[in-house]
Amino acid sequence: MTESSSLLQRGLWKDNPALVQLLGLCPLLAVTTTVVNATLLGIATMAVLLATNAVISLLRRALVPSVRIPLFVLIIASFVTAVDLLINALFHDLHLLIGLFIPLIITNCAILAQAETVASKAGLRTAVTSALGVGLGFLGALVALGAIREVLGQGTLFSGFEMLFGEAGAALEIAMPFSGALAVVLAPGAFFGLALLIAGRNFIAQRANRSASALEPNQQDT
Amino acid sequence: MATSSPSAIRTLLLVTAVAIGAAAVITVAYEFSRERIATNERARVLANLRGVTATLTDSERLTPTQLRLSVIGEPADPNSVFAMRDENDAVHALIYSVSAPDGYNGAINLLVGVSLSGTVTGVRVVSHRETPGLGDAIETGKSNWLEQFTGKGLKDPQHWAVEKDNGPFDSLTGATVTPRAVVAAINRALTFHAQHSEKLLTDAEHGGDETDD
Repeated sequence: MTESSSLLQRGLWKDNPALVQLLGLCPLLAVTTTVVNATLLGIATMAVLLATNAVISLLRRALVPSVRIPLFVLIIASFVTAVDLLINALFHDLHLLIGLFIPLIITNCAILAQAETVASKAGLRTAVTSALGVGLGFLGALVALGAIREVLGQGTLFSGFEMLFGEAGAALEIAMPFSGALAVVLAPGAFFGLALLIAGRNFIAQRANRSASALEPNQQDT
Repeated sequence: MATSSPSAIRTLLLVTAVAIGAAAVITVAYEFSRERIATNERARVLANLRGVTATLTDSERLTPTQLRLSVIGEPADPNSVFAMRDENDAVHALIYSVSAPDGYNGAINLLVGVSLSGTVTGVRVVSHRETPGLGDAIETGKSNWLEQFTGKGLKDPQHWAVEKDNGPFDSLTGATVTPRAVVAAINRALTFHAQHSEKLLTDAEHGGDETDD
């Protein structure tokens, strides 16, 4: 396995920020009522991750240890502010729905953790690949939770995509033959949904582990 | 990361440089978005105002002008009032932006359109924090609950209340506080209209307009 594909896999699966590290849960739980909300927040988070990792990686030789954390936060916060403004300008209707949670990306520990453990130590290529993996992992978890909650809670899938893609997006909506349970849209649904996703991921990881260790008894993987 | 102990000057330079870079990123994003955000906001306000008068014929050609509330003299209940005029400057309806402070989860902000004859042309919820699935049926996109007010006036019905309080207006299943608050707020807008609309429009004719469209 090459270095970059193992980096990608780490963010996507092995160290998934939402499902394994349990980072960035506040926006994760708050906006995943529909797939479209989850998608936009996931993309915004990924954009911030890519930008901050790239900038911090380029700055890494100039960094001073005693002020590195404030600088990371400053860089993250300015990119989040920029992303917030751009979303407000380009996807105004969606911004009305999830705008409250975009500034919270600043406090997403997955981004600070990437800055501290990867970007400030590694070259541009590694930093960006790692950010891509973590960003896609977070986006995937958001969209999965959004899909579960939208189908079970609202009885639709991919509704509201016209806010992202214009009129054509409305055609994506799939109506379910049931109307959905309110509890899934409310906060408890978010926690149960996330628990199901984590359990599902652990189940698959353990099964993969067992079959791997049956072939190679020495290999350890958690 | 640097391993030698850095001088204070180097730290200062680094922090300054990063701060300038951060300010530059935000400035570029702000300059790109400012006009677009303002246009979006205006379009949203206009769409909301037109939505409230959509039951009138040719509501698409009406344009809003904000009226001056200070002419009333006393503290006014609506936050703002708009006159919907056609191209000949004739007023077709007034739109009151009112707030129902007694919603289940805080204030519900409404736009209430009132025709010159004093009947409701339409109601829209601008913002609210009601319970999803219960109280949020007051949103136009979620149910047609607000449509029942169209055509109603201060004297028709006599008793402005929901069915639960022996009034004619449909309650919402599972939500009691929300419809009560909305009904009361619409009633207040109609009362205000009956008392003050002439004074507002006279003031506007004498050049007291604050153009805002």
